[in-house]
Amino acid sequence: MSWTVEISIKNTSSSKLPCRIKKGQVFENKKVGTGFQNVAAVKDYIFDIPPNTTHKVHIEVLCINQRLAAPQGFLNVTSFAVSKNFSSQDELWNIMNTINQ
Amino acid sequence: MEHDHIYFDEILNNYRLIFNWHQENGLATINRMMERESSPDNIERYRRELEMPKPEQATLEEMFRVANTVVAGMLEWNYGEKAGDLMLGEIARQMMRLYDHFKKPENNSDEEFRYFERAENVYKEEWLNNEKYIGGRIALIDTNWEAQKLSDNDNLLFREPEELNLSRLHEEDEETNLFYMASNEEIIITNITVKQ
Repeated sequence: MSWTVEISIKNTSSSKLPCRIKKGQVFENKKVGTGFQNVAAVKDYIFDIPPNTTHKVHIEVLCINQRLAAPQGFLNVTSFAVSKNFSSQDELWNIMNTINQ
Repeated sequence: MEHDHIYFDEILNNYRLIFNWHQENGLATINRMMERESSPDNIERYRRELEMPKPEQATLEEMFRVANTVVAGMLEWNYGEKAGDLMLGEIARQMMRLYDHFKKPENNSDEEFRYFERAENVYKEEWLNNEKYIGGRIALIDTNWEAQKLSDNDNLLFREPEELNLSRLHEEDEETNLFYMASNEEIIITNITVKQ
């Protein structure tokens, strides 16, 4: 089952800004211990944010923490991406359940 | 917690929709109940529910109680009525989901509390700025905690992102990346939510 992350982005400049969200980009809960899964983008997204507006984008995501509950609530965009390629929820969970020594 | 106000504000916005709807339609609901020969006791109980606190005075617990009453109580009469795009029942359920944010930490075990306390210190250099909607620390902590539960090692290990199949974005390669644009304040993220 996939989920959708809705992001509202404000561009206060007078020119459009190109923006990218790479496949595997991780979005996280805003606090520890919520018990909800964090999520990762299922593909690359490239879009422009028009000048002087608040622009909404919708990103399809999959869950990365199999043992936690379904994602919900507010998120942060993180400085991390999933480091390996994946094409399904099971494949992503398998990757995340493997520890690299 | 520093970001609790975000959840509180969202609950309050939803509560305001329910409050305003009943202010405008409460009397019509009582008339409808009378037409359907609802008992005087029920009508009186509904009338008392209409005295719900004003949004600017309501506590979190009072808003949660009203949401509960919309889902399964005297205010359920109007569960399917719409306030804006959503039914009152959907709004109330959304409030209850958001309220979980305030309850959830009480469900953490002692073991989890100890882990989270240490992990927040170990990973304190990682990004976490809830006002800007940017982070990294929480995903790293949650994913490491999962790895800890999967391993046979009883000692707490705080792994590097690479061990957990997480790679860092590199600013030089990612100058148009959403995370860096937000951290560099080229853009302002005003909300990120996840939905099914």
